[in-house]
Amino acid sequence: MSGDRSMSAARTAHLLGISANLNMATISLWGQSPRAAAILGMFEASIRWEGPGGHDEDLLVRLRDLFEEAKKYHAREDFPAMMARLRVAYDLVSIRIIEISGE
Amino acid sequence: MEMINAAPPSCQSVFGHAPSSLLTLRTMTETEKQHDISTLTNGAMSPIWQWIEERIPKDTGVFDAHAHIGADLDGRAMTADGMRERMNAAHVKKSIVFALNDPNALEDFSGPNDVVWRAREEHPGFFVPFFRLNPHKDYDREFERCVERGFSGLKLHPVSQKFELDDERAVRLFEMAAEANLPVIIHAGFGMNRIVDALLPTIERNPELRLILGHAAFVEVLQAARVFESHPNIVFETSVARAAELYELFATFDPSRICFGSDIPYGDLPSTLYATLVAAEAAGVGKEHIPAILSENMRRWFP
Ligand SMILES: [Zn+2]
Repeated sequence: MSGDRSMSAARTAHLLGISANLNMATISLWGQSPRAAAILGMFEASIRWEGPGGHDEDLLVRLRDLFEEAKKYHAREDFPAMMARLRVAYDLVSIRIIEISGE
Repeated sequence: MEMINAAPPSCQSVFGHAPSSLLTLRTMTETEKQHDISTLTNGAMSPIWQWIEERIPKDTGVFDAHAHIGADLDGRAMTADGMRERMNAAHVKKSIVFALNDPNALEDFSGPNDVVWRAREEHPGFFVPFFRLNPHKDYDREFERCVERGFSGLKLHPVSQKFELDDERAVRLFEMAAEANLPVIIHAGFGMNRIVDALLPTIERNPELRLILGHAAFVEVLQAARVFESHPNIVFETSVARAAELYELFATFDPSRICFGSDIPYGDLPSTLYATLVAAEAAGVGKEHIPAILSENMRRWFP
């Protein structure tokens, strides 16, 4: 793979991991799983550090902001406000992956 | 969406009778929280909401093709007033509304259908009422009653009411709706397996049947887009489908047959508007099509 190609692949792999953790967290919240808090923690960890080459830092900043607030609304048991943030976060990641794939 | 066992945690405050000095400490009640819809657009949501508002053309009153009024077995509920408040806050001028999977549905959904009708009477011009039925039960009388009353369409939910779309009792309902020139919205979202194959024979036999595929048939979205392309009376509704699935739809399907929906109270207007608009934009749908997707496509059926 060329340098650009392997960077895109690395970014995609990184974002797929984030997407998977967020998806698990969302489903566990819908189903009121006793593991929901732990899975939210996994998602939090997956967005904590810089991604490959730092190219997606703008996205990661957004995800961290949305997640901080989602956590707050989770604690307050405001389900719609929490879910709106998690849905948007999920879609932001998806759209970024789609954009990278078309580069 | 009505996901089984998917109720949010109960939110009744345990400090409901606390002395006033403690009131600032108590958690909000469900009613108070539901009331505070600014939480959907403030904080980290505000740049998202701003992005959305920039993309809603000024004179486009948004048409929400999928929203619920009433109560659900899973604990969710939405009043007509609550719906109006959410509509106002998000530039929505008209919403198709129907019952949830109501614990008081009994045999024929007549009670929950009455709640929807009352909402239409109390808020003239804002709600397009659909009635809901259970194909397993005796539905002829309620069908007739609702058609005579002036309901605008029929809602069917194969997951909640546990039937296949090619079940003969459901097929009979599709045919009755076609006969009565009544559009049908089906839940074609969470929990679904067979959509395209199960619907196709009915659609081919009843080309005049107007069908709204709720949640964009997301589990089979590409195949649905391919197969239903040649059936102009089939439209896709976008509520709570994810942006990636909506991207598949927008990249392959005529935008004049895609309409926005929220699925309140399962979805909310800001996040569903975002998914729809961001997917359309990423798929290269031109700005000129946005008013159609957000409003005009549905207004052709419900002026
Ligand atoms: Zn629904």
